[in-house]
Amino acid sequence: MSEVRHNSGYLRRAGTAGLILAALAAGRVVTGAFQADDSISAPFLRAGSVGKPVSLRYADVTAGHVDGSRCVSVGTSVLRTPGVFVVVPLTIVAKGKPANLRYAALQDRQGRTFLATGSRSPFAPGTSQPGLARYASVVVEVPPDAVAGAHLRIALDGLDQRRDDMADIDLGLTAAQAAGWAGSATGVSVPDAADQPPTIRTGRACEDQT
Amino acid sequence: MMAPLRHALHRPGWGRANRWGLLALPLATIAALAASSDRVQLYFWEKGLRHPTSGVAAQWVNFRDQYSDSNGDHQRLVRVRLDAVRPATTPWLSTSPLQLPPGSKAVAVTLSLQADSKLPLSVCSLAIRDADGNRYDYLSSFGEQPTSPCVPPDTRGPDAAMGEFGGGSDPDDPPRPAQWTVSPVIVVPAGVTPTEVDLWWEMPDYVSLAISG
Repeated sequence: MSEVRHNSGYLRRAGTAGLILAALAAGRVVTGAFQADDSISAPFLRAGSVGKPVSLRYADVTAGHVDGSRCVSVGTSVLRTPGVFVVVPLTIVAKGKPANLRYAALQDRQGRTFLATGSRSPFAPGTSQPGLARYASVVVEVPPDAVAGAHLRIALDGLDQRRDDMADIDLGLTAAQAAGWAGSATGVSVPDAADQPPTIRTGRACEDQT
Repeated sequence: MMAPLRHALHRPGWGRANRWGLLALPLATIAALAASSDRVQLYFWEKGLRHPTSGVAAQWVNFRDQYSDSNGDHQRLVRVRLDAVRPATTPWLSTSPLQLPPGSKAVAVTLSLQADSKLPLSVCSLAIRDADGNRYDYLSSFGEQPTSPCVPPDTRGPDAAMGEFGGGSDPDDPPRPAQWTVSPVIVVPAGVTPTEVDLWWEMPDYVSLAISG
């Protein structure tokens, strides 16, 4: 009789341990299936549109008139692409303390992300002093089919955008604009980042640029 | 509060059967928090100006913090005095007029410092604050000013030793004087009234100097 009770105690403990393991496994499956890990660490997207300031934790960011071409002049370099360069002028006003925004990317309708990084897709706005406008441009090299419906995403940290504000600006671009830029003979002149508003510079013909 | 707990621990049943687990629960919670507490240090405490050494204008302040280089850990002992905060029309050490951004003004911060000439000090940051706590940093790109706002540009003193990668003292460089004065210029919005000057080498420690008047 006492042996039966002894065995049933072991069985009950084993059953409890099994149930705990099953609960842990079920939790892991649920978080994996619904991508809970990604949503927990995702940036906080702040939606906006061209010409309207997007209020972020660290700055107000406003995208200006979007331009594009198959060639751009950046500093002393002329860049050409078989796709298109999308050029977005930004006005950045930091909040509370200086901010140097280091993340910019174009996200297309298919969910593809094109980073503005390196020499072919530059984004280097420099440090913005709080309350004073900083003028900079995002240049992103993309295939023409990524232009229509693309959103511009801007964030503070170039390496880690988790759990922080990120501007998500609908650039209002169409397939017709993409086709026009891809066949354009006129390049876009990209001004350097500065504390002064940029002067309008007319782009030169792509073939003329060396 | 304690009586129901004592009762649960001593009566036969669930509470008694699980008494050791219940007692261990607070310890396990503390251990779990302690295990992840390095994130508070790395992602919060060391990412901001948290630990001020405070003073007022025209008085010397003794500032002490620590730094590490390839030779180990060291004390950094600097004496700082805020001499003046004045409107500026030219960059520090320049006679060229400043090109001010729209809606801004320039402020020159004059500081006197005393330190051992062998102490690496050139990698520092300077800022002024307004009454709302907004921070405006010294940006050397504004007006093409010297890179470091806290040492004389011609006698910067040694850099922190970086082993075979450089740093340390160059015997050909003239030594930094025992006491010197700097006047870096900071751009702020036109309506801002500076109330505080902050100087730091490594967060979270900083010198906080109140601007009188």
